[in-house]
Formats: sequence, C-alpha cells, structure tokens
Amino acid sequence: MKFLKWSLPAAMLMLAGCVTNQTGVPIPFLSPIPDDAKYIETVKLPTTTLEKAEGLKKARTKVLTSSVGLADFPQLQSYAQSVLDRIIATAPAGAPDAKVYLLANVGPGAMAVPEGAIYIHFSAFQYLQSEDQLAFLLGHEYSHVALQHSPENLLRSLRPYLVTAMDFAVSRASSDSKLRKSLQLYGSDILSRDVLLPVWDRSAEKQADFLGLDLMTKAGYNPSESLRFLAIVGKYDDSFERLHLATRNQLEKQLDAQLATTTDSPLWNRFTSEFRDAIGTIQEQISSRHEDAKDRMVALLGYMKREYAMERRRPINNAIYVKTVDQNADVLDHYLDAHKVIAALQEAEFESGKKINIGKLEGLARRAVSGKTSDHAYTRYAFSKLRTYQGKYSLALKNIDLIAGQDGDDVLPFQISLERAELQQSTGNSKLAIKQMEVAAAHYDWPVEAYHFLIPMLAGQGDKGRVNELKIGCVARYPQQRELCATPQ
Amino acid sequence: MKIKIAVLARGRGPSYLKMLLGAAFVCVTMSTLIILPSQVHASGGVRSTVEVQLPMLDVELFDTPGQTRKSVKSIPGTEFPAEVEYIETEMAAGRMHHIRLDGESRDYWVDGNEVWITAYDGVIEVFCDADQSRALGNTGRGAGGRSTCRKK
Repeated sequence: MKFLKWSLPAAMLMLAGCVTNQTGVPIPFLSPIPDDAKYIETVKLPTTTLEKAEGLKKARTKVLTSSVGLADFPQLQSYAQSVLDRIIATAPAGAPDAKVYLLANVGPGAMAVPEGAIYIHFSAFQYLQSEDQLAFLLGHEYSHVALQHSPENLLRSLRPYLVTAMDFAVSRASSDSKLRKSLQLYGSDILSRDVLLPVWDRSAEKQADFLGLDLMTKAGYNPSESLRFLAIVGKYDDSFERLHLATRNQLEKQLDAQLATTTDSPLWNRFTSEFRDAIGTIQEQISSRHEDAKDRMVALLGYMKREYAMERRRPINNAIYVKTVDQNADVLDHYLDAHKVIAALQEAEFESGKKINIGKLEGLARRAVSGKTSDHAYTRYAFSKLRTYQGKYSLALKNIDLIAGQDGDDVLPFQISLERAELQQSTGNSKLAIKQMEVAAAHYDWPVEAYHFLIPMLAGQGDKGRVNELKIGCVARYPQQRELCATPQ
Repeated sequence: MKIKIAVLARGRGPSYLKMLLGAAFVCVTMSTLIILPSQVHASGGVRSTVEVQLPMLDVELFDTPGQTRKSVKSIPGTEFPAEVEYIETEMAAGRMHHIRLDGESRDYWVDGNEVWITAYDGVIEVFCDADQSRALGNTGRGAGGRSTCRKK
C-alpha cells in the first residue's frame, strides 16, 4: 500500500514527462561527461533562443510572488557578482552573461533562470567559508544558465494545491486564529524555499556539478573546496530542517486530519484526493534531493583526482571573503534576528503548549529594524508578524508601510501585500484592502491566494459582477481548482 | 642572535647596529605576516575527533602539505581512526590538516575537505538558541562561515 502511495504519483508524473532520468545512474552513450577529458573541453553550449527581458521579468515575478523579497546588501551582491564575472570570463565561447541577486531567505538554496539570473539565499554568506566555495555555488548555478537547463518545478506547479489546502487546514484548526496561522506560513522561509527551489533532473544536476567545477578551476579557484561546499550545505540543510521540523510536522498533522475526513462535498473530496498525491510527490522530491550529496562528492572527487591533481594544491581564497562578510556582519545579523522572530512565532502557533518570550522577541525585532535594515522587507515583515501575534494590527500595518521599494519596484513582495491586505481587513479598512490587493494581484499575474482573498471579500460586499469575473479568471488560470474557485473556503 | 649582531656591528658604530636591528625587526615582522595568513590554525597537538566525509573511499596520507607533496600511504575510510592528534591546518596549498596517528612517531598531512577535524571544524550548529553561545571551531570559523550562536 505504501509502495502504491509513492509509486502511483511518480508513475503518473513520469508518463506526463515531468520526471526524466531521476535515478542518478549514468545512461551509457547518453551522458555528456567524457571518461577521459574535461567536460569543459567537449561541451557545446546551446544557443540561447529565449526572450531574455521577458524571461527575466517572469522569473522575478515568480520569486517576488513566493518570497518576502530580495536582500538589499549591495556590497555582498557586488562581491558575488565579481566572483561570477571572473568565472564567466573564462567560460567557453558563447557563454551568456548572468546577474546575481540575493534572496531574503535563511534556508539553504539557490536558483538559476535560463535567461541569465542567479538567485542565491543571503544565508550563503553565513555558512560558506571561502571565495572558492562561493565560486563553486555560482559556477554550478551558472552552468544551469550556460547549458540552458529548464527545471520542471514540481513544487511550483503544485503551489495552488498547497495554498488551498493550507487555507482550509488552518481555518478549520481554530476558528478564531485563521489570520494569524495562515500568515505565519505564507512567505515563510521554509515554504518559500520549498516552493521556489527548482527540482532539477539529476542528469542536469550532474552536468552543472562537473561544468561548475571546471569553470571555477579555470577561473583560478581551488576545486577541492567543492567537496567542502557540498558537506557544509548538507549540514546546514539538516540544521535548517530541524529548526522548522515542529512547524512542518504540525502542518502535516493538521492537513492529515483534515484530509482524512470525507465530507459531503464531492468537490472537496476530489481535491483532497489529488492533494494527497501531490504532497506525496513533494516529499519524494525533497527526500531524493537530499540523499545525493555524498554521491555528488564521490563523483566530483574522482573527477578532480583525474583532471585536477595539481589544481587541488592551490591556495584557498578566504581573506577577502572573510573581510567582506565581516564588513556586513551587522546587516546579516539583523536578518538572522528577523528569522529568529519569524521561526519562534511559527513554532508557537503550530506547537501547542510552546511558550515564547515576547520580551526577547521584541528585542530581536527591534534590533532587526535598526540601522541599515530599518526599511528592509524581511526585517519589517518579521516585526509586523510579531505585532500581529500580539493582536496589534495597526502597529503591524505601520511596519509594512515602512518598507522601501525593491530595486526600483514600488509594489511590495506579494506575500507582504497579502499580509497587509489581511491586516487592513482586520482593522476595518476592507475597501483599501481590496483596492491594493487588486493592484498587487495584477502586478504578480494573479497568484491563487489573491483569488482566495478577494472572492469572499467582494462577495461579502455584494459585488456580484466582480466576484463572477474573478471566479472565471480563477478557473481559467487554475483549472485544477475549478470547483474550489467557484466556492472558495 | 644578539652575539651575532654584536659581532657584525663591531667597529661600525651605533647607527649600523640600529640598522641591523631594524633589518632584523623588518625580517621577523614580514616572515610573521607571510606565514600567519597561510596557517589558519597553528595550535600544536590537541586530541580531536575526526569525521571522514567519504568513508567508502580510501584516505590518502601525505608527507608535506605543499605543491610537491607525495602520498605516503592510504587507509580505508571506514578504518580511519576516530580520534587523532591535530597539529595545524595549512591553506597555502589547499586545505591540508597536519595530524599524528596514535602509536606512530611520524606525522602526516590529509586533505581537509575529505577529513574533517572537530578541533578545526567545530560542531556544526548553524541555527541555535540566542541564549546559547557555541564557538564553531577554534576561531569561530569552522563549518559555517560565521557563528550565528556567538554572544552579541
């Protein structure tokens, strides 16, 4: 039965073409990695046929829809860009340009957009130890860009299911705390990471590992540090998962309880059945991604010993790295303080009996919004969450109003727009909430949460015309949720 | 050293002595500046536990850390001792740990990316309670570039 539970959705996805060679076993005659030469010497980079400006805009919209925005650390961003530029300068002819952005997320991770953007979580500067390790991270991600890999992002495609089920579960968990509980999770580090991280085909991952190693070595870095990078990321990931385990477990428990009950509504029952399969696939994808770090290390070590015996003896570049990180220690610490606040509030919401020290969180939140990070989305978001938890909705709103525009963009990251709308609703300003949510929804190409927020609000106000328009729009964009679009929870 | 300087300076006056002392000072300072950055941890001989990153492979032991290093012997990862005497780490030719195995008089160098030394790498606890203070490695720069657990 358990086998059926896992294998059925996997088989369906395989048939649908969503999953390709996930085994990690190289297929004879198909693997592009040569047995007796460097990959970089034989690789033929594909010609880009993508519409660059449009693709970058779409990617940015996706990122800002699912996260709480970019980390505005100019010095760290330009340092990472200089490392990437050094790598690109020695890349094979025809290699495209790419730009690095820092994402406001404490979780481990990075994502590459084929049109030429690399998003790394700011936490890379917390756990990496040397420029060489940063070079491998960027070299790996850049290889996805150069090889024009397009991930089939299962998590992202399952997002509408996840959002609806979360709404449903939290609203049934406790009648008076829907607002708080749902806001604790939307845009959280753990959920953003899961939704945004691309799930690469393993053969694509292997190509990026090998080409990334070639590129960093050609740029003058010590290739051995790639092994340390993989080991550290593995440990950091474990640590991050442990920290959020309580929240994840509690959410899964609530979802399980809700999904186990069959209701009178065949629409809901059908949705829950589909959602169960979707959750199974997500878990499978996450575990398969976590298992292969050691395999990747073994493969890279063998390749390095064969191709880069002497290059492994180069000095490690960590002096400038350490200096640059130290110069930004305060802003990095402020983001960590913000994360501690968010994580503690999540834990308190989802773990019954868990007590939190409000005084301590108040101190952390105040420090997070001090100095250079006083108008950053991530730090103000944390403070706003604390005020929401305390029931001080007006103060929570004030924190959101203090957020500065990001990179020339006046519209807030979508998850913060959603939080603002919920707060405006709670403070009796429904009209403004609807108006601003309509603007944010249009800007972010109508995420499913926008429909879930607006349809009941407008129905409550008797605006039947707009409600019908939104229902039609919702069904058109999210056909898998057509029944629930018609009758949002 | 003093005697040698005095002998060299004999008959050449106090300014020559000062010049020699100045040169010696510059020489010592420069040597320190050149050597120190390449040796992140220069603690001598502490017992430390070991984590072999890839136990399914052999661990190679080298005679020196430098470019001309030669493999002296190799030990299967699963048989590598759980504890060694850790001497120092060299960064100038890759991350190499200087160690001594129990019962052996000679010392070896191992690749620091394949063999992690707790005394150097610290305990990996990247996220921790704000009340706790746990150093990551000797300098707080073990695995995890910055200790997020340090006291503010």
